[in-house]
Parts: sequence; structure tokens; C-alpha cells
Amino acid sequence: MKSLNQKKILLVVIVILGLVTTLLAVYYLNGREKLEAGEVLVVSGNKSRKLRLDQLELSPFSGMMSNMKGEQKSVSGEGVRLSDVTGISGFSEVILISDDAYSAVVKAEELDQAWLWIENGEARLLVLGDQNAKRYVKHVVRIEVK
Amino acid sequence: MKLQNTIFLALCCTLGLFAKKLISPFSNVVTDALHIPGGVSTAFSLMFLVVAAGITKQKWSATLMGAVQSVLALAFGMGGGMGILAPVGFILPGVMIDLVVTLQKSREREQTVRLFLANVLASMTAALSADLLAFRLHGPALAVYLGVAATSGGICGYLAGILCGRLHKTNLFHVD
Repeated sequence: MKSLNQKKILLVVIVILGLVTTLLAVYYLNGREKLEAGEVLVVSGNKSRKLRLDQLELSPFSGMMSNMKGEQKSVSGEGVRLSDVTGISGFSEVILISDDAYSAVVKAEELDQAWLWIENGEARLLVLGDQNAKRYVKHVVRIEVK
Repeated sequence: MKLQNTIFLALCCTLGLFAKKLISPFSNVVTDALHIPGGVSTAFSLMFLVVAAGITKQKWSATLMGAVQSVLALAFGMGGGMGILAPVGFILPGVMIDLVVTLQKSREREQTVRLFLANVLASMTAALSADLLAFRLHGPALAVYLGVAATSGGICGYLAGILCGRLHKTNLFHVD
């Protein structure tokens, strides 16, 4: 009998946790910028602008990168240099944020190696020669210039 | 440590690691809809550690399993975004499970609640360590991520309680 009550209480706790999470999710999803597919928001200070990926002039690139297993592999594709996307000078770092809020930082001195790889209408960060696979951010939706 | 217990720990350790991959398609549906990088599959993976700790009641068993999982994860390249720091993300939840389940004396009737709590706290610990080491979420995104981890941890902890109850009845395992 006591065990049955315990289980009922635990189920109530799960429902409460679920409700709190749902409320948080509604607040979070409503607060997100509304972007259409193929758009990336570039934020610099108080200014922001939307970038349409299909309007960018793509250039071919190739180089080496490290995967999650630490293996080196060659990559090639088409994209734009991150420095061309940010469009300004005098910044210290660029933060790239993906659709699922995952983010990576690219320092100003690494910008020459950093590319936005455009494929199937999506942008992903690629830092050529990078040993840190954590920065392989897929589906970039926001770029913050600091 | 009895041989049955050791085998059971090893089995749960491996199951926990690979179960994560197994439910990834389902967890991705949830996390993609909520625009967060994870939180569901880890809770399911930790359920096996909770069950193993709850059944064997071997001190520090969950921490040990977490350590073994981290070595396997590094060897198989399953460290995710945490890279070489992946052991932290595996061991800390194990420590949390041990603190709640194996390092305290508890009566049998408290077991269900302890396993539930252990899974919730371990999931949240895993989520927080992944956030500190890899994701770096903040604000509402972090709150949702932790909420999802706690809820899925609660569901899996509840299931762990049921599973442990049934396995105890088989009398296959010896508690030292």
C-alpha cells in the first residue's frame, strides 16, 4: 500500500517536472528570433542584420580538419570566409550559434581559416586545420561579433 | 564482490553506453523541436547505472561504471562535444548516483524514491557538466535543457525503480 502511494507521488512529481519544463520551453521558444530557412542573423553591438545564404557569393575551399575521434580528414566544399560575413574590423572574437543553441568561438586571429560551409541551404562552421572538433557547428543561425 | 554482481555491472555499463545511440532518433525528435542540444538520451543511459547500483548496492559502483564508460567512449570516439574531457561528464553523474544510492544505508521501501532521485540528479549533473564543458548554453535555453534532463531523468528513474523491484524478486543477485 505504502509502495503504491510512493509510486503515485513520484508520478505526480514527474508531471510537475514536465509542466515546468513545458512552461520554460514555451517562454524560450517565443523569445527566439524568427528566422526563415536559409537565413542567418548577424549581430554586432546593437545592430543586427539578416543574411540570406542563397544570396552569398560562394567560393571553393579545401583543407584538413579533425573529427570527434581525433582522426584527420580532408574536407572540401563551397562557402564564404567568416571574415567576409562579419564585414567589419576591430573585433576580438566571433560567436557562432546553431539552431539548438550550441555555440563556438572563433578568435580574430583565426578568421582567415574560418569558413561558413554552405550546403543544402544550411551554414556550418569550419575552421580549417582545427584540432578542436567541438567547433564544428552545424546549422548556424546566429553570428555575434564581439 | 560476487561474480554475478560484477557481470551485471559490466552488462549495465555497456548497455548504458550503447543505449544512448539506440534512442538517439527518438531523443532527436524532442531536442530538435525544443532547439536544445540534448538531455533525453543521457537520462536513459544513466538508468542502467542506477539499476546496477540499486541492485548490487556495491559502494562506488556507479562511479566505477562511469569511469569505464568514459574510457570506452574515448576509445570509440563517442565523447561528443566534450572531447578529452568526456570522463568528467561520465564520472560526475556516477558519483551522484553513488551518493544517493550506494553510500547511504536505506530501507527497502525507500529504494524506489532513491532510484528516482538518483536518476534525476545524475541527469541534471550530466547536463550541467556537458553545458560547462561543451555547450555553454545560458538563460532560457539552459533552463529548458535542465528541465528536459530532470523530466526524462524522472521518467527513467521511475522505470529504474520498477525494474529493480522485479529483478530483486528473482533472487539472482547477492547484496554484500
